[in-house]
Amino acid sequence: MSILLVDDSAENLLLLQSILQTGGYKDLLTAESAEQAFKHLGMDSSGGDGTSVDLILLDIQMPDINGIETCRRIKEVERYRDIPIIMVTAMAQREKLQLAFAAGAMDYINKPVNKVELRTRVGSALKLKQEMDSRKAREQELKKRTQELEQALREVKVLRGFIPICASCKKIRNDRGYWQLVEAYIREHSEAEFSHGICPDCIKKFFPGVEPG
Amino acid sequence: MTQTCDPNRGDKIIVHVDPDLKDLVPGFLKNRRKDVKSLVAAVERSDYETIEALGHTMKGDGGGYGFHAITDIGGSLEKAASNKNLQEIRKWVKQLSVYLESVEIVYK
Repeated sequence: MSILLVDDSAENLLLLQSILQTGGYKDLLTAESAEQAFKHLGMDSSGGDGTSVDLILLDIQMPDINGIETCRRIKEVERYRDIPIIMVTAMAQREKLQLAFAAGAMDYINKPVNKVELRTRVGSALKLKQEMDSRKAREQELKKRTQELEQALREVKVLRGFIPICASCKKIRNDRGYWQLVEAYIREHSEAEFSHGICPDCIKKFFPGVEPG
Repeated sequence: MTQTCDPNRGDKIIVHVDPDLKDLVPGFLKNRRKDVKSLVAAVERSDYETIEALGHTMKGDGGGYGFHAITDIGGSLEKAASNKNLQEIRKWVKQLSVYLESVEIVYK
């Protein structure tokens, strides 16, 4: 799973990378500004799809576009709506956390960064992302199954409603307006099959002298 | 910061740093020495914005590398710059300079 680190301090980026890499997180991208982050995510004017990321660590205080605004813009993009964003903040910026959460952040860690805290929070966030991805995949599968079932249901042959039948010969007028034998009609409109026999009345009528069995 | 003696006397300040950061620490300290020069120049021209920015960055980065004193000094510089207090700023720039000359790292 990949992580995007966004911080205007190159040294803090190096620190985060070092702590995460030695903690087993190898797939890391870095950005020193919101613009660089948007480029990685394919949110700039270049029109590219961007790199797929599973978690973003975002410094709150950055020049030009700050972390809160960056978070808000990322969350406006449909494909990033569920991506976990962890804000990285100094103690004095705690009052900005409420704004960050309103913009879509899910958690925060303090600066200066503590190795244990960082790895724990990142681990939890990635686990959550994995669960969400699994849930989405299951929902897609369920949706596909439902569609298949609905299609199958449409194809099921059912006899219902009023059936126009000749009072004399018992032929039935089908959907195309043609009179057809009742056997042919039932075969077309159901899963039933026929096994042919002769009823006692017909035996008496057509085969006089033969005793009905 | 593990302050075992008085740096103003020329004694060493022992700082224990995570061995995982061994490759990064020399570069970090080198940049802090550059920051001292930048701060001195900024003080000369009363450039509070630069001082505040440098202080803020040191505050955020220092402790992560194991140098909690740099975090503290950075925070003090940031505050002094926002109050436009040149006397305080000079005091903390001096503190930073002495600290950087006195620090001795133990990777542990």
